[in-house]
Amino acid sequence: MKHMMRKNLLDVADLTVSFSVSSGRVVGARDISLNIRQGETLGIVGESGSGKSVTAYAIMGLLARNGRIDAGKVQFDGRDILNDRQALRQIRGREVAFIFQNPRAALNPVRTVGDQIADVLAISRNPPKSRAETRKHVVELLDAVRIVRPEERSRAFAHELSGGMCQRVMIAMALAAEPRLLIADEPTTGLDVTTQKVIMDMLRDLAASRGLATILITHDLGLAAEYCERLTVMSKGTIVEQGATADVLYRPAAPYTERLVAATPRIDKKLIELLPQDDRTPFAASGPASKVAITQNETDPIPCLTVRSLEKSFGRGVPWWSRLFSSLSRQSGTPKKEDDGLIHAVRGVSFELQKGDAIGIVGESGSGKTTTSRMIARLLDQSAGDIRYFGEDIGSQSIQAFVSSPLRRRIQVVFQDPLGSLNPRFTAYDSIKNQLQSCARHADPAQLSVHDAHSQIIEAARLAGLAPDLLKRFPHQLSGGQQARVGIARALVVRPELLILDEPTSALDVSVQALVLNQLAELRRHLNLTIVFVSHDLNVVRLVCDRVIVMRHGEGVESGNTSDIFDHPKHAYTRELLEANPHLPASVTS
Amino acid sequence: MSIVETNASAEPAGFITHAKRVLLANPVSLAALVYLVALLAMSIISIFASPYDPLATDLGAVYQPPSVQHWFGTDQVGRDVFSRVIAAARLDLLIAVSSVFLSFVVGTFVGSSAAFYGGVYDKAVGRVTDVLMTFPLFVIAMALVAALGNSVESIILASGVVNLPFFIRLSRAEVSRLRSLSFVEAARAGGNSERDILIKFMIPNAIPTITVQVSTGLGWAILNAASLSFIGLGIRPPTPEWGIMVAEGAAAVLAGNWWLVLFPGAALTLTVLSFNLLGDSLRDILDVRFRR
Repeated sequence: MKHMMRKNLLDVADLTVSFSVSSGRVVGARDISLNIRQGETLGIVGESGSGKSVTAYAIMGLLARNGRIDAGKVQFDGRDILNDRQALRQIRGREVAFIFQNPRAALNPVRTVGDQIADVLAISRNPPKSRAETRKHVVELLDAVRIVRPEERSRAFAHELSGGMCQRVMIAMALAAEPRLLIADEPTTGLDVTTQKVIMDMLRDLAASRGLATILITHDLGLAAEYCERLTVMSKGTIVEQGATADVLYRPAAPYTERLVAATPRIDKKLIELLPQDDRTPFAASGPASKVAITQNETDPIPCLTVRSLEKSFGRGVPWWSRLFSSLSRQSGTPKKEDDGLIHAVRGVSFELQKGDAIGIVGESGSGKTTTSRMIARLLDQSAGDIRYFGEDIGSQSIQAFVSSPLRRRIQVVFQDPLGSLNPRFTAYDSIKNQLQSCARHADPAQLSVHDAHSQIIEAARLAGLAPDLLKRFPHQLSGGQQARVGIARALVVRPELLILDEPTSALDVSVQALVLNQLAELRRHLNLTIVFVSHDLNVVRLVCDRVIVMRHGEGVESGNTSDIFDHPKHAYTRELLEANPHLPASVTS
Repeated sequence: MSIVETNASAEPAGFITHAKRVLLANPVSLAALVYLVALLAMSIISIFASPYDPLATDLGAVYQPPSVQHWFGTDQVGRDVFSRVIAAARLDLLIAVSSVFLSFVVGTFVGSSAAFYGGVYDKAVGRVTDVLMTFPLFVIAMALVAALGNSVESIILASGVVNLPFFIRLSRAEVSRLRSLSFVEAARAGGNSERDILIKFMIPNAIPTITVQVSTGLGWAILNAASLSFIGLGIRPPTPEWGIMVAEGAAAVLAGNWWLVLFPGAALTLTVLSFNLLGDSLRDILDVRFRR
């Protein structure tokens, strides 16, 4: 076989890494053995805390100051680079290049990207002889990563480029030294799926054309499945399984891999199937939509939520005289800003939602999906348009006035960042209690009171799947999944009718996401909640929602029933989104 | 970099355990704390039991160098320097704590609300603070004491006013950062009024950072009180006060009576230093996010 002929470029044997923390030493990675051949793509997959990044950083001697390599061997092209600091220095940045998560932070903000690429060229094996040659080289590299107008962009600073472009610059920097191994740590996390696809395709093509070996570190099983030849699955600091991608995904030997594959949302899967077999509660296993909700749909003439041509623009607006000047001067403003100097985040979104329904708002960053949800939640005043809640005009109430409205209780929000949306100085219990007390102040006493607050708080925590003994903890002392549950419990304690979920699981690992999504689906049935679900993840929306609105540049490009949109997308953009979304191949054929 | 799996099931540390952990990891802060606690304890005990009366003169024993009877020696009228240094700590700490408390409460509230509400109020507070900081602060303090009269209260007020801009600036910066975080929006969605958000969400989160300023502010206030009495404002002899003692002893140093300046001076220096060293650890102790 061809694979057998290639020799190992990197050999890691029994690597163990530990960190000193205030409560002692913790192991970050234990007995890691892996290798990569020339030109091969290896995926290291695992959830947060699995030690996948620690492993990569340890190999290249980039551990944090409290980290230490306790045992093991690392050889690059036959040379020991673990103990030989000299060899490591020669290899790092020249033979092995890194691509980091969050490219904008990895670039120096006060130097042009061209200069930063030139720096790498200067330390490469064949540094350019003259300034002109350097410039030529920089432009060639930027062209290779498909940056349009490379000459001009080489003089740009990081803040002038989009996230996707910054990542391309990072790749150009990585390639500048003509390395033989590329280590990409979550290279597309935080980028839109369409951008992700372009970057990953490019990375694959460049690696293939230059015979580069690539280690792709990712939490996204779908992404790894699409781009890697071999997979290494890690959990809790150890390797649980390695092998050819297809073998690992379709015939997982380790139970952990099996669970991970199962928890990854997929086209042909139901929500309940994300959970391991033995965790499926009878309640959650019942049919998709509840009977209660359906009958109410027929009897209720007034929709729960009506949104009519909702618009939002930011900015101050430009007076006519300076508009005149700007039209005369060079046209190079940011693309988002229009002639009137305003940024139109949302332009004319309309939909209706019946009680008990769930609607998904899908789109990429900057599509206006979160802005829309914030206006509905009355956390942001709209510029124009109408929002009615059971016929009552809530759009005309300002956000300051709405805080003391009895409707505040009935419309609740679960926020995107589970940790950031909790007051760091409140325990979980205090966070839930604060919500109950504040809402009860303005609510109808018959529906919500602080009477027996303690049992109400415990009940809300139970509904959200939060153990009572966790309630006395501060947010940072909880895991991501637990933080998300505090956010849900906090919204539930005031017994809302309309729940707006803004990317509630985007910060969570897939296995935790599976649990939280199932919990939400169960709550929806149990409490007959109406749901607005905002997400960038099409797979998740498909699992949770009855209807979908696809947004782009502030407009709804397509809306309809979930199955119609996913099976027969009409708009080109919807199709593009669906194709770019990395997913595990649907059929498990062995 | 991914977070290493720690002992997630273990109970997180409580306040006492956490404070102990922080102090043991920072021996310098621990030493500072021990010194300050000892000084405070001694100055309080000295109300009831002091080796000598700090005001009692003994003309038979003037200018005695440190000895077993008089640990820090005696001064020009035979008063025991050790008793006076300890008694002075009481007054100096009282002035420092009261004046810093004053500027902390007022400064935090004014700075936080300015940043939180913004608008004209914020601009006004910002400009007034800037103007106040353009003057040499000691001169303002001198002017205030001169105008208000020589009393402990006017020293407290003067030190408080001089410290105020620092607290306003710090809390203003901290709240500007905090108010854009997502938990503020969550609080609004939870039905908290703007005032509730300021009092329950903004100020408590700003306090750990402001604590650093409290600690250094205490040091400054002591120095300020001592400096004012050194130049003859505020506290008058024969009240034991470090600044006055140094001022009175300054002339005697030339005659070789070094202990009159060294001991009160050293007490002053060590106290200011200790407050400064304690600052960072105090923040780590008060910030719940450092608790593991």
